[in-house]
Amino acid sequence: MTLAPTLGTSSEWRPAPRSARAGKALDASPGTPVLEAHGISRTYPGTPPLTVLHPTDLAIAAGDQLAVVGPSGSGKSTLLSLLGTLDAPTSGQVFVDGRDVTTMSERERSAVRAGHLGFVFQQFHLLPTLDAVENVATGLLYSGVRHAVRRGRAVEALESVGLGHRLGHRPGQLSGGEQQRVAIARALVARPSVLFADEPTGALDSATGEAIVALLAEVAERGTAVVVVTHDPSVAARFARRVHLRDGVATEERPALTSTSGAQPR
Amino acid sequence: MRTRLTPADLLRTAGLGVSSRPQRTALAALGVALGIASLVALTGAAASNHAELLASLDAMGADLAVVRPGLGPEGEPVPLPPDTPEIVARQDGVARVGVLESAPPQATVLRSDLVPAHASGGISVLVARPDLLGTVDGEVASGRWFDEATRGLPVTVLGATAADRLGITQAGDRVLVGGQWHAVLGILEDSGLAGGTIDTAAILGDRWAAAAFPGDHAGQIEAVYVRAEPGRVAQVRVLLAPAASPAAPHLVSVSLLGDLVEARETTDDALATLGLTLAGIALLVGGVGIANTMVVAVMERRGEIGLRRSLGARPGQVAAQFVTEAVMLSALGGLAGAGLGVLAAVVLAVVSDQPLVIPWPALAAGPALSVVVGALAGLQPATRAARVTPTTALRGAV
Repeated sequence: MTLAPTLGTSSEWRPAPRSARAGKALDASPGTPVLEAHGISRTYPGTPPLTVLHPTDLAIAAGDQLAVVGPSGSGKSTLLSLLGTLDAPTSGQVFVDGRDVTTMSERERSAVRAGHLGFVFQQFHLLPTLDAVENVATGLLYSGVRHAVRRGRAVEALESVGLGHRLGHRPGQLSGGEQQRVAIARALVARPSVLFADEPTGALDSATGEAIVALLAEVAERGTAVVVVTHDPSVAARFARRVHLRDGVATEERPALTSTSGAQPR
Repeated sequence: MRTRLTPADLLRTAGLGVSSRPQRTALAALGVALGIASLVALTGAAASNHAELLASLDAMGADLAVVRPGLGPEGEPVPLPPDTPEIVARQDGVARVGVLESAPPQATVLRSDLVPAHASGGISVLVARPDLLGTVDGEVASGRWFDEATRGLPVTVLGATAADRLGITQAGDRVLVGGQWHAVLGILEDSGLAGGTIDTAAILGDRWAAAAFPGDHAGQIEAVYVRAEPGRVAQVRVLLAPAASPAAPHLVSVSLLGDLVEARETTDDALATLGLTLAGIALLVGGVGIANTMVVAVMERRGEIGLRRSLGARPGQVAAQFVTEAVMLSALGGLAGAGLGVLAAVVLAVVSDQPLVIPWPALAAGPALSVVVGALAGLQPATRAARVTPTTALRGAV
């Protein structure tokens, strides 16, 4: 498990043998690596070009709890977009479950998102005319699963986030915390390897936010890696791994006892 | 590895977009609805009109041909030979013949001797033999038609329009014809297509006319109505001109009632074309309305699009969703328009007292056309939707 910001070295990066990469990840975590980033950077063209993320390495294993924390504009969301295949890195590679998504076609990347990655957004993005079950079932819409099966799994997912009693309610009839739980259930219904959450508590009061963070920790304990982007240090403090971003440079804060050679302690 | 969106799911997803904003859906579909409604209504009205013409043609007898004097080189009428009716009657396929002759020019019709001589109201005086009415299938509204006795008496039978202009509503009254009082023997029903001439005429019996206007009575044949045997009118038509005037058949005018129908339909066609053009413009405007609605929808729903992309939707699947939404909007308008159009066709038929014809082809084509309009209108907005990046969902777009 490493995070090694390697400024200006992305072009020098060579993919390590599969076994070596796996070994490295296993080194720090009991899980298998589900997501690996090697020297990913993002530069927007212009004069001068704007680099919002400098080359970064990151490996995430099953069950990992990782918070990406930093001030506004530090590149948190860019990192999440690149890791989540929502955007393509200017350089570097992203592996999801061992497959290089940066060389994939958009069609294949869409399938990776549908099957391996889940997203939770600050604004929930629930469809207001659908009840909780249908909103969650949307998470399987593009997987080719039959509607009845989607509904069944949506009910299970809602029960797993503690909303078994709110199945038929529409977003307008739910509290903010409940809406975010529905969004989390939607992200989990396809049983992804990694769940990305972009400021999941940003639109919630602190008590509700606390409960959502607890839920995300629970999700990680069940084996899904959770990557949370937040500007709130108190939220980040609840996660075992913390990556700090400042001006596009990522640094991982390691608990002193488990610090390994690849990391840069704060 | 690829994502899948089944047709049923595509329809469900698109239906959601359409049903979640009912007011906007209704307004967007309205334009197409009006276009399709006018298409169906106009086609229905034209079909009703056509049916009415055919019905009246049948009532008059589709087997009726009319032989009239042709025009000479100077544009002057060339009289038909006096024996024309007899020769025509002998032709193969001719069932009956009725003759209408002209009266002398001074023979005018007046309501009474107090009316100035020039105020004849455009009513012509014609002379008929008793066989005319049967040949044209005419009906007497009041009184009687000429028989062997009355064809030699000072009586007249008025066409429907003529009676109306003279203010005579029933037989038994009297009018001045050529300065002489004549009793009104009968009044004819409106004879429709055949009777442009008969309707506006005061008709005298042929024997009386010969006696009353000796010498002056030119006795020229105005028209010979020929009733062909059923189904043989086309054959008969070819025979008529050479039979009437073997030496100069080109100086004989022969027409069928069907020709009149065609003439009327040409006019109707022009009107229908104009109407259909307007319907097409309405449809186009409807399509633009839908395109506009979809453009706004794509802008408003960037967050939803970003979410769908993050859930694994491909750009093509997002585009398909928006095209389907546009098609649904338009098809809704098309169906509503078809219903509205039928309603309008029914009202038009009832108001104008024409037979109701449901324009099935237009009914089928209308909604189909609206689907095409919707697909075209949705194309550009859908392309824009497909270009929304998945990161949009992160950027706080709602």
